[in-house]
Amino acid sequence: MSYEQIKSLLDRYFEGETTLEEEAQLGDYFAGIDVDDRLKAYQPLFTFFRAEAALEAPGIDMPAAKPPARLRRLPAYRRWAAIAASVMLALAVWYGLPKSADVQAPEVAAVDWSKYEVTDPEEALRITKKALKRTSRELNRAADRAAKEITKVKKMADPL
Amino acid sequence: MKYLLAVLLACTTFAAGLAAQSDANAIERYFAQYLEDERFSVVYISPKLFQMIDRIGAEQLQLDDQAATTFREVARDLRGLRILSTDVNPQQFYQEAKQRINTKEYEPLMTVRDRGGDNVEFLVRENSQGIIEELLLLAGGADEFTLLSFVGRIDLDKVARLAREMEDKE
Repeated sequence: MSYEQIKSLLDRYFEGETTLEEEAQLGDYFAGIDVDDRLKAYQPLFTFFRAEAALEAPGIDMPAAKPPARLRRLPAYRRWAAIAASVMLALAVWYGLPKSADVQAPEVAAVDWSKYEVTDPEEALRITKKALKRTSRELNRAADRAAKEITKVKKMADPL
Repeated sequence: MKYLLAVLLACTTFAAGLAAQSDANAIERYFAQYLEDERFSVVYISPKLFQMIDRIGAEQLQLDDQAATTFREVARDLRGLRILSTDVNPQQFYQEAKQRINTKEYEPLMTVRDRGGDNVEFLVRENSQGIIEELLLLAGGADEFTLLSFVGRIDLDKVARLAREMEDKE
């Protein structure tokens, strides 16, 4: 491009009247090697523009906008598992705490029952039989007595 | 999930511990001091006998078949029989025993009081499902005080039937 052409482009450039295409032509001209001496003064300006345009802004990590906080919905089985776990934990604590009755109960010392054990099977059998028979008999006696009492009370309540 | 498993494991251990405790019996709880007392005689039948009860025939039991069947059914579910007895001051020990037993744990079932002074009291300890785990018989007469403790699963109906069936034969 001739000196005149460039000069007129430059004039219009400084007036702000050039098109983008013309500005690109100016840029190309000044980026080239054979720049007219009279226009050399403008060369740094255009090389600077071109160099600057080539720069890429360093990537800035903008924090991604947080999605609004939402209640996490657990899958059904996890929800039930969580409920079960808390129930179990509560039960464990409840069982672990001494109950009032236990506190009142006298201290229990471990008893070595083997000292009193009847080791002869026949003797053990005889004792068991006797004990069960006695218990059974007393149980019946008590039940009979209770039945009689009930009949008595019924008679009193119902004089007919 | 791992946490959940740990909690479950802890609970199971707890439950096992409780189950082991339930073998405790009234004699051990309230009458341990009598065990060393010279005036008392103590008898203990271990679960070993009850475990082999099914192998004992009616003849060896000296019962008829009917009574033997009922007897085995009752004895099979027992885990221990303990007897504490004395002939010294029976009435006094009977009254003392009644007071010692915590009725929150042992529910009085029946009491029989004879004019002659023979007193009998039944108490039961139930588990949370209402199954009887221990049956206590306290008997205080003029000559003897006896405390019987049956530990195990106890069916009172079967126990009651036993006397009639045994009596018929002997």
